[in-house]
Amino acid sequence: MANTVVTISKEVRIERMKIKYLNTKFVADFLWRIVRLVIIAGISFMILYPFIIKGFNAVKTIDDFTDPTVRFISRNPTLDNIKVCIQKLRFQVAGVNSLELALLTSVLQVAVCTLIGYGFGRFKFRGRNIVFGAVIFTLLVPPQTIMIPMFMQFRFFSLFGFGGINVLDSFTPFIILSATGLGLKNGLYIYMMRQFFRGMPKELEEAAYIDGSGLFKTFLTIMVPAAVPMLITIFLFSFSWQWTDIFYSALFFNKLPVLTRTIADVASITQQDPIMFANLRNTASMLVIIPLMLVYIGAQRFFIQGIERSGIVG
Amino acid sequence: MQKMNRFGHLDLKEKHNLMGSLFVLPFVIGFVFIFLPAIYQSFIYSVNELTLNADGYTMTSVGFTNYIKAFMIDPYFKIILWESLTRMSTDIPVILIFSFFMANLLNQKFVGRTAARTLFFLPVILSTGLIASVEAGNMVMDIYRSGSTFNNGMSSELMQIFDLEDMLLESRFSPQLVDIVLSSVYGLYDIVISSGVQMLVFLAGLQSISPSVFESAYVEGATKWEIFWKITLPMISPLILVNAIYTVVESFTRPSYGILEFIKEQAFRNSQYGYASALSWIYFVITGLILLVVGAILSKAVFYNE
Repeated sequence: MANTVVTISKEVRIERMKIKYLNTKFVADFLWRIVRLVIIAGISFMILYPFIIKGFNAVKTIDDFTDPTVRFISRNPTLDNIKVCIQKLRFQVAGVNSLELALLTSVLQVAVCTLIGYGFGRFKFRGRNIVFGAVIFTLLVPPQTIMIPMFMQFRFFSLFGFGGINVLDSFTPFIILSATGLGLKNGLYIYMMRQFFRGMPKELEEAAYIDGSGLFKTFLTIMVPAAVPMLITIFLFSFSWQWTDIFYSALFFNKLPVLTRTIADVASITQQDPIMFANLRNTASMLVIIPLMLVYIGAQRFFIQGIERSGIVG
Repeated sequence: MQKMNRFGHLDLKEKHNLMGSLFVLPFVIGFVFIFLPAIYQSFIYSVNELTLNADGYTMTSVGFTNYIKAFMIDPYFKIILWESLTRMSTDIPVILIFSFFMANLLNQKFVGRTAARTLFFLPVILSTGLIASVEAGNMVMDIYRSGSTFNNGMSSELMQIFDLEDMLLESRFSPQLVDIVLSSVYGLYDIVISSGVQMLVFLAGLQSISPSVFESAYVEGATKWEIFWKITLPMISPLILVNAIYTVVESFTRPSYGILEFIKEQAFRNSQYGYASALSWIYFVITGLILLVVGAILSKAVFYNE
């Protein structure tokens, strides 16, 4: 029967198509898809829009900025804003400093929080719940509450009564805080790592113990590699936090230039002219954000992956 | 005392657990030597009057006057506090509902899903670490807020581009109505920006529900509505608790509610360190109370698997 041609009458074809496309399920589905598309597109626009605007605004001159007929494309695109900002921000110096600081603190925080999270996740020592409560406590307390005492502590830093030295204006306060798991939002990271390690099968470690590996060695060789997506996630959080931190940077640094502080310098050349100030601040903040965005884009595949496997769910 | 076996030593398990406490040692050290003293100091400050001089500071005990001042004398504190709290109380449920809805949405399969997810989590990354400094102005927050704080004196770029306000006014809608519409538009903007982390958590949770649960439900003839209320929601409820607590904590420390600004101003502009300490303690206690209440209420509603 290979060569018979079956002709379907027109009426039958229309009927079939009606059944296929005109039922409630298909229509509802289709409508939902459109709604969803609109929502996603709308929100994506909302999110992207500020950045696009920043980009366009950065190349506008003062006249363009105030010119009501200029929306996006400036009449005389100029790189002057960017040049001025790079100079005023002391981009080279402050940029390098910010980078160093952010890298240093993030790596420290990742390492320390993983250690601590492992301790909570795998070992049932006495007082475990109390200490974990303390971790959550550090998360809860708004930094403003302890802002002044912290300042004082590092201004007259002493170890067991020896010292009284001023360790401000250096990376030291940050290093100390990060190394003890007290950095910004570290409680969250510790909690995340704890949940993660809880979710790992015990057999992995037990196999290692049987083979004679010590506690710490097992931790390094088995648990840590398994946690890499999580580590990258925490690193990203921590890095971006440190990069954009204004609070602690303003608190601990006076002379040391980091990008978040030199932004304040940008104001100094504008001499109270609010429009110019707005224009320059715009460009300055864009310049500071760009490195962060690059880091994010580079790491985001690990990031999304990491969260979805984080075992926050347990 | 650690449980000892009959030989007087710790048995293996106890030893194992004891080693575990070594892992958390850094935190304990930091907490005991840095954090706790800071908290203690802060409380001391709040019941003192602090004067900073050239090589240190002097304190004079004033008891609880700072606290009394906060409530009885200072005209601004109560107002700002109340305003911030009411705004938070509307924002928090909306953030939770919105992020849950979006997480559901992002969980479905559609073209460009990965791109959408990347995009949506951008605000999370970029809006970490934003505590407004009064002078320098927020950095990343600037970028976002400049599109939303239309009542703040800062020019709102979104508004400029769309001339929404002008358009609405010219169409002869009453100004009050325009106001309401605009504030909901910008409110929505705010919500979107601040729901990032919650969305992440919900998404992770949704993905962890094994599809077989849904399949068996379908086989048993459950409708989508039923599935949502009887399966998805209960299984997600632990995360709702987590997210609720996180949102409460986060919005209390968010600078866009003027209260934190106010406290900071008291400290650095008016040099009233003791007063600022007292204020932040009051704020902290309120945060703790609300957290306890929210936590207690929600915990009752959480369904724990086994």
